[in-house]
Amino acid sequence: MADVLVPAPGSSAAPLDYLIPGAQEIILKALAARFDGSAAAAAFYPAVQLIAPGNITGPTFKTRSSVAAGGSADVTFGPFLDEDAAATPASPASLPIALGIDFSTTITAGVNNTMNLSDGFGTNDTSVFGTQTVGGRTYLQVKTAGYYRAMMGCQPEDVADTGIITSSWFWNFGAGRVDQSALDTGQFDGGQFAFGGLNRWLIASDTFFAIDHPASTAVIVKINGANLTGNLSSQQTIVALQRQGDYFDNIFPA
Amino acid sequence: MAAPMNTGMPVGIDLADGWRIRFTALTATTGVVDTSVVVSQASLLVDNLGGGDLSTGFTLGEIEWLNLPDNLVAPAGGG
Repeated sequence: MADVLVPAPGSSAAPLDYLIPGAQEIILKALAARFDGSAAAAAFYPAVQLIAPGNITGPTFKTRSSVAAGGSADVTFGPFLDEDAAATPASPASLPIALGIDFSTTITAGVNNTMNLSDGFGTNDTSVFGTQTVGGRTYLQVKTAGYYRAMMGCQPEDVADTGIITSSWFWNFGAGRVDQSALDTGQFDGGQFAFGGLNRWLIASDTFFAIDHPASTAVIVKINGANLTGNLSSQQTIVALQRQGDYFDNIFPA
Repeated sequence: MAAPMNTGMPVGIDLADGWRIRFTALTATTGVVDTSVVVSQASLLVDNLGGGDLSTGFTLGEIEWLNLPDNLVAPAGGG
């Protein structure tokens, strides 16, 4: 026999009961009702209870979240149902990142060069990043200890657009640049070069972040296999420092 | 307009006569029935195993006599 819908002929103050008539037997498939809480002074849960003969209360099925005082809800009770997810899932938090810009530093072959990020600074979290001026140069400053990833892109003036550029740079963390803890080598084809990868560097709090092109690096720039003999003028250099998330911090606590 | 909500219940609840299906509103903080909430447009989707008339089951406006004061007696002569 096909399923049937049994509607209530009117409304009632809660509770509203349906008593299975004599000599009948049913299998419940789904239930629905409107719960008008216009006069309700407090939040409430729409619910269905099964009451056994003898007025013995059996299981109660209620909504997971309540209806606010004065609110109303059209509720469907059925197998495998659950409340709808929030219309807009919470956005994941952005990882803190800072950008520093250097428009003018010339990288001179054979000597130590340090970028001066005095031409621009931006961050999405000033509690993690700032700037710090040391010895006349502006650096990105790390305020909060943790693991960080460093990236850099550069558009040199003096390099042909078709050249392949290989250059080594130090990411230096720490006052006085004494902690030369990391070396990244980048290669890029097309007159620009970029550094940075999946390496993460552990940085203490209140540390400034320097980018050095060390004098000790034998090969500064190669163009089609030949060493560049002149200087490299960084027309536009952008440095990004991004703090890694709790996932890394939990595995490798700072 | 009332907000739509869904909630789960088990599959295959087989009930015979004498059972009640109660639509109710439970106060969030105390769990007691909030009688200020009005239930309307209630319906049951069922497999009618008995095949009989199910339309008489709703008890709209029924008065609960279960908690009458002890000194309340039925009127003489009946109703």
